[in-house]
Amino acid sequence: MMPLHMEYVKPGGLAEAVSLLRQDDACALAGGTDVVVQMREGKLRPRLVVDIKGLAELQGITGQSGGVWVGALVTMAEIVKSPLLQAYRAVVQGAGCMGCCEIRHRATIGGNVGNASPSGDAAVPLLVFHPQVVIHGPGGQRHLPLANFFRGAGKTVLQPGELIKGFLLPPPPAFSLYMRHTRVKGMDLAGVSLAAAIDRQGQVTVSMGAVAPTPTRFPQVEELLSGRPLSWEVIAQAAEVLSAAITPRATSLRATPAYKKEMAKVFLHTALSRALEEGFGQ
Amino acid sequence: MNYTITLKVNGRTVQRDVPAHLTLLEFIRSGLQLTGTKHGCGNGECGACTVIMDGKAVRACLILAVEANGCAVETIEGLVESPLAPFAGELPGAVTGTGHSHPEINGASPVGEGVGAGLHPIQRAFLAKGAVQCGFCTPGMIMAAKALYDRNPNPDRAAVVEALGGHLCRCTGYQPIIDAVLAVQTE
Ligand SMILES: Cc1cc2nc3c(=O)[nH]c(=O)nc-3n(C[C@H](O)[C@H](O)[C@H](O)COP(=O)(O)OP(=O)(O)OC[C@H]3O[C@@H](n4cnc5c(N)ncnc54)[C@H](O)[C@@H]3O)c2cc1C
Ligand code: FES
Ligand code: FES
Repeated sequence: MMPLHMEYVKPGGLAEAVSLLRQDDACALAGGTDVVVQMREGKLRPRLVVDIKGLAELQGITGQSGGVWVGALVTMAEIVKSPLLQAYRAVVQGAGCMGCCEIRHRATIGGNVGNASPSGDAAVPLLVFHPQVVIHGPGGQRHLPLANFFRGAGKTVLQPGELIKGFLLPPPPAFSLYMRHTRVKGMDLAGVSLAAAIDRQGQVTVSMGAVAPTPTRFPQVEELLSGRPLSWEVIAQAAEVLSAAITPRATSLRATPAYKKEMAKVFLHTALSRALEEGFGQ
Repeated sequence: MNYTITLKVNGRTVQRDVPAHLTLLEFIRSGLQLTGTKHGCGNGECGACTVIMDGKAVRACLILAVEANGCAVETIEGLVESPLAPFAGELPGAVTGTGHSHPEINGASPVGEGVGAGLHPIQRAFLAKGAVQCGFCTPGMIMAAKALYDRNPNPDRAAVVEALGGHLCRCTGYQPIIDAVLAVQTE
């Protein structure tokens, strides 16, 4: 049941939004595709819903010193169509598989990251691009690597009154790919997912979804793969290290830990084979 | 606490007071008594509640009515260009009722001369291809198809499958629906 006594405000500016969000039991509302579901399920009972969709500072995709600025309110449908973001293929793929058309028209990147699901299909691929999260709050603005943003399933570093303004992506890597496994062909959340990127210097970045409480990177795997030609031996070794590094919880609804550990190997293998096919990683 | 919202529904301006917790779906069905839009799962999963908001197909069960303030909403009732639009007359003021009545629409059928006359081309295609069984998914399917045709007058099968990808149908097995959407004649 929806919280019957909640109030609603749509602030016209960032300062007003911040002061509203400082109040007890206030909740930011972007596309609402998580918020409304969680309210109906009784998991979220805000006293005040702050609709941030009117905030111009949180909109838009623009080029910025070789990289790209992505506002928190940018929707999955916008990401899929954005010419600037095509060079960040993994996040376009993640956005493209989220929910369905109607969900992608509403679901925002700030909402996906703010919701901090272990399997967020925008959050997991975003990680391999080393973005900075730009946070606006009562103390002004601060930047933070996305990898340091998540604190647990559904938990982030955001303090009362703070909002994600957007994401600053450094110049794109040479190669990136996102893959996810779902139980059904239709709409489903990822049971396990992996993103990989290779930059022009041969640095490899790997992240996974639904194998830990948060979307997670794997430095030990990245180190093994970086700065050397990707031979089948190295890939196989890295796949074993990745598989051993993950400890998925046994209570997951969508896949058993053993299955996720196998899929980690399959996904890493597939991603890096694809890179080699496309002429990267040699 | 109630909030006054003003929006366009099927081309007409509507102004109402709604509580913050009311969804757009509840507003459309109970407030405006436009019961063509269906309540299936209520959780964004099935597509039965799909309407077009500012040109985009969206799930009315995931949107608060207050969020639709200032927007243009199209429902299945808006597809039939006829004076039979259910809320042509006086609208019930309350928005929290159960809304089981169909003012105006009970009396007359929108079908004029021959089956499907007066209907939207997508609706006629659904009839022609036998794409309707129980009909519960149909308004959502048709609104998703309309949003697709509004931006792409010549969709291929892949585009249709993509547009309907989040819509569940318990009856037809989907093929007749996809065939119907592909068969729509746009003049
Ligand atoms: C049917 C269905 C299918 C789905 N399928 C998928 C899927 O395949 N993959 C997937 O990853 N997700 C899926 N989701 C979940 C959801 O759509 C995504 O997580 C989406 O990106 C959330 O964005 P939103 O704008 O709707 O967020 P909201 O629901 O508005 O917000 C989500 C959370 O983030 C916070 N928030 C929002 N914006 C900001 C901001 N700028 N700053 C700080 N906090 C903020 C909110 O307070 C809230 O806690 C699905 C949901 C539904 C209903
Ligand atoms: S009722 Fe909205 S998607 Fe099922
Ligand atoms: S016709 Fe019955 S659900 Fe589709």
